[in-house]
Amino acid sequence: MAGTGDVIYLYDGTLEGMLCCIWTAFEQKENPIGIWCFDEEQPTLYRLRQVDTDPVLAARVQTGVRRRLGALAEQWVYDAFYSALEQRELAALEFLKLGFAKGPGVTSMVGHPQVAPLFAASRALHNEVHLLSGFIRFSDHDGALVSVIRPKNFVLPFLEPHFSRRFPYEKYMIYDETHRYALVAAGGQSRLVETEAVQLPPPDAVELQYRALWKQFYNTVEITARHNPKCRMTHVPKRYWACMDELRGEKKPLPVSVRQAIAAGELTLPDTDPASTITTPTQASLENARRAALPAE
Amino acid sequence: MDTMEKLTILADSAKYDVACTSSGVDRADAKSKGGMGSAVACGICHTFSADGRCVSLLKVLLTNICAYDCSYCVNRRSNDVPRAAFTPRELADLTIGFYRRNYIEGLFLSSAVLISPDHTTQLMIKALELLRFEYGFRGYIHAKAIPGTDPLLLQQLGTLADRMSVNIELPSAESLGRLAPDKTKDAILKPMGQITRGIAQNSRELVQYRHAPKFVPAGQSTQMIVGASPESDHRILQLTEGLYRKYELKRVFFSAYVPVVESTLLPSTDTKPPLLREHRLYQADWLLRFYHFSADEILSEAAPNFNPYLDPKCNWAIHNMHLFPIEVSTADYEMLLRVPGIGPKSAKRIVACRRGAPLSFEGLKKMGVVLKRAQYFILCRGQTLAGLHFSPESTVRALVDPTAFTLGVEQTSMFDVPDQTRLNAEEAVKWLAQAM
Repeated sequence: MAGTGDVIYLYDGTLEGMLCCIWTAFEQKENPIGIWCFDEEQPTLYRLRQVDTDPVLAARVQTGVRRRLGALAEQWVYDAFYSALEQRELAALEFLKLGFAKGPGVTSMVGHPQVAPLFAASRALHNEVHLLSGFIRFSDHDGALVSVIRPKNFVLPFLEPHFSRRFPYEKYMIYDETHRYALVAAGGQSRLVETEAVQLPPPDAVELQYRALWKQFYNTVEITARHNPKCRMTHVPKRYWACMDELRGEKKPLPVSVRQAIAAGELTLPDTDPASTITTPTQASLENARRAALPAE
Repeated sequence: MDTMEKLTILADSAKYDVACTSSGVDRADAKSKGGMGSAVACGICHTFSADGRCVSLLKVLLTNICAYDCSYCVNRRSNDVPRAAFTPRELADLTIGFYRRNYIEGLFLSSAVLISPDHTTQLMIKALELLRFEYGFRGYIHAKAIPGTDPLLLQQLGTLADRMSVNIELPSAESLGRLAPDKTKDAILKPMGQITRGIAQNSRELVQYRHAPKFVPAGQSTQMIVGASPESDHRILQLTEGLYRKYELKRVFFSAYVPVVESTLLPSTDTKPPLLREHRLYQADWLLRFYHFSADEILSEAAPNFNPYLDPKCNWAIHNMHLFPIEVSTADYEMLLRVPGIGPKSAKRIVACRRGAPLSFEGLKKMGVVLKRAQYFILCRGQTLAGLHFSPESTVRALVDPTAFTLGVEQTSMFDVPDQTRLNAEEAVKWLAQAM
């Protein structure tokens, strides 16, 4: 597409807003060099164009993509918006430029530089959704299930169908700390709420008992003759550990020389308080929040 | 005895069972009021233990009090270990408590033989009935069929569970007679056959009556212990292929023998588990199920054991170099699958993409083809990869499996120690290149 390329778009950060930026780029025959959210705005020498969000135009872009490029292309654009891809709006625009030039075959051109980023972003997003559908840990607070996660991608809309199927009659909440959003579901209804922070009451005795049982089960099922921490790390990347009851506080195995020294009695390690292994900022901030919520002694 | 102690004993006894899959059935809300749970066709792993194995199900025994005396088993009658038994209610409560917290995808219920196979199965049925009917649990349940159980009880268990399995235990009838004197080949194959026929009959019933109760909807699996008896890899693989064909099993699992008991019939207790051999068997199992290979293509009477340094597919490729290189733009799907570095996903993508636009090496890479290995076996639009230096040595170097050097080659076959003592990576490359 021919057109000027010295412009940066500003939009409101919604999916519809992004679709309107795509509309504008086609309509104005422009090649924006950046598409920014309002809050990302910074001083620049390039021309800025503010794109207003119009749901009607957004819907036209969406149906246009579906009709001319197929459902998969539509899905990729949607996925890109929720992914952690850098300059995802621009990547979506590049993909659609190629798409409208080439037709529905564009989704099989996964090696093309204008397609590959979207393909990879979509895979990464769905991969994280799949992992999290297993790695999420709920705590029972008076019958309501609460979980805190820290994903790279904005996974909540994709997790909702799974957990609503799994718990059709439960009240549950998943709080995404990276994006500060919460998925709240009760009685078959669910919604996404922007939330700055969640304050949880301390877990009760039953909850602590189940956590202890789970941790014990987890430690028991290992076959020590097959110990293979590297394999575990491949399957459960470390960034998920802080939010998983059984792996939180799990330490890196000590070097062989140190272990031998301990076995020979030449070295003793200072006893550490198990609670102090929880050092991730979130856990600390949750603890602070809990303390603040408790009445002063 | 409290739940914590019971869980520790009964999870510890169950951990040598390999299967922990929650796949094969897709189920959502049953339009009933209350209850919980769903099952996802692809299965979900909830965590991985420190040995790198997936934990998807709460894998426990109902009891480890056993009437049998199988010499390879920790729970055999004559072994002095702490014993425990769950009541059906305790087990159901524990399962629901774990399931609500998203710790697990369901329950894997196995058991030692308490009093008799029928008595044990009745207890298992009671636990599953509590879960399914009282708690309205629709999550995944894997139940172990105990050889010698009454067919009617087995039928009942099968309508409550999603997957069932009968352990074949050892890869031949002779080994079974030697190491598990209370079990026979026929007693193991009988329930397996019953389940296979039950599944086939159920699929016909479902065509006629939509609400016919489902029988073992996720199919059945089995497992065998590798390394406790002297069978060759070829024999084990042929058995595996036979089980897939005759009994239509979903999975055959292999379990590297971990010495847990001292016995003159068994390898000594300081033997390391043959992890590399188990790894190769799983690779070959994948070739059987997803890559259109047959057991006799992978191994033969002349070469009955796996090559420790190469995975079975690469091993096949370097012994069939006359078939390569192939042209990726025209080769059929089956042939693409045989190229080292191309799997079912990338082969499907190649077939789909080459219809739209010409392929390139750069594009192949982005589709997920591992060019490091594939480059020696493919042409793209008549060309090899630019700058490719082809020699037996360079080919083998790209194919050598690094796990061979971390898991230990000497473990592959414990009864016939390979002629070559342990080689390092460089020596292995030279040795393989000469053989090419």
